[in-house]
Amino acid sequence: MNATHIHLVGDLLAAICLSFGLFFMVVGVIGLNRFPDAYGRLHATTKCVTLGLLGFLLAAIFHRLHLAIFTKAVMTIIFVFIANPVGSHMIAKAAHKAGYKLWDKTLSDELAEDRESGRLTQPPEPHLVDEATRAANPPAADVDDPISMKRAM
Amino acid sequence: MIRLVLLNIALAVGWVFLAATFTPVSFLAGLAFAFAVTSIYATATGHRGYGYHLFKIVRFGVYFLSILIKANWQIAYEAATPKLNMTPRIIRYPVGHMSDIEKTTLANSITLTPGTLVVDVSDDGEYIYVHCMYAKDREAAVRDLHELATNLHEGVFS
Amino acid sequence: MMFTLAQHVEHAAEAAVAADIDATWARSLLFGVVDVGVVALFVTIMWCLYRLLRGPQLVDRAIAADTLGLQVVGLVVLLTIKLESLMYFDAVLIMSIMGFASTVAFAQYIARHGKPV
Repeated sequence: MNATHIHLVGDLLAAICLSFGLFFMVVGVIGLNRFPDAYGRLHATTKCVTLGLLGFLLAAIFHRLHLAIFTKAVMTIIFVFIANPVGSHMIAKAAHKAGYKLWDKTLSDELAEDRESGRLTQPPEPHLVDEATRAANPPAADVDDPISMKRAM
Repeated sequence: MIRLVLLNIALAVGWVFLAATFTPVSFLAGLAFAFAVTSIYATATGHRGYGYHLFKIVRFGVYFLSILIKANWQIAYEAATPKLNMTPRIIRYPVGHMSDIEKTTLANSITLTPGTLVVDVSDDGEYIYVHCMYAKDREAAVRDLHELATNLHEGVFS
Repeated sequence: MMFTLAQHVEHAAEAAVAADIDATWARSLLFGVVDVGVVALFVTIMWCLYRLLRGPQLVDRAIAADTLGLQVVGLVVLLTIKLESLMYFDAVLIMSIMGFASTVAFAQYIARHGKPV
């Protein structure tokens, strides 16, 4: 088995991984445009794009069989598998907190129940508290303050 | 146990630096010697064999990859067929007995497995809230989550 | 830029000939898949851009932006395979990190000011 055969097998594996990843990436975007509410769209994009990118990076490894590409691709795979679910978790949490509606056919929402019953007692964001207090009692205009003077002018 | 695997990798990196030959073959040799050292260490500190632990971690990896592909196939099926037959629901799942790193790993695994997505964590860290896509039967959905959590605990964090 | 993309492709082809990389049937199959992939990613990126501009809610725009970033990463991977170059692979890791940072920023914005319309 010489170098030509190694490249033949590598290219074949790369083609298989690439078509695999491409299929799931296209499916993810179709799901993004097709599912009824934000949570369903997050389901589609998170899973499909993560697996699709795994296929792409495996194809790059098998194609070149080069150490520099191998290390960078493995680092990217680890990073994407950690960061992509965390990002979708953040979007879902923000959407539920901001009050986006679930789909009509959703059976139950225990997170909203717990939020109403007070098990989730999240304090308001600190900058919102600051804005509220500032609106309640506005600070007296200080003429010695150069920034306030600049703002007044 | 994941700590032993990290020890193995750290010893291999140390081998590469001490041998001062920065090649893949040198790293593989370092991994092999570090495997022997870590096995002796694991036996001496009273863990069950290190090779068995490594086997369980690899088995969890294969299980995880299989359910990831299953999840994507489910999405593809749902996106391709014209009728949406989903019955979504947000359920709470107790994670009070877990450590922080285990909760994080479990949440990431749940997001990548079929039909489930983590939405929020309660303030005291007792519950996570999971958006399940096919949860007509609440008990069955909780049982699926429990199976994943058990596999994760057995494979990686025990 | 010192030299244009067309010159770069030419250069990469010359380098491949000089390194005596033979064109097997598997390699031509792979390059066929890469060409199909570039077209498919073009379509999906345009679709995501449409969703980003048009999206009825702010959350839809955020999800579209997240997906779009990772698809551009996939396009860069295809570019490295096509050009036989090691040069662009640094961009893959950097762009995935930047995509994650933008997703976090978008999520913070939604949590603070993003009431549904």
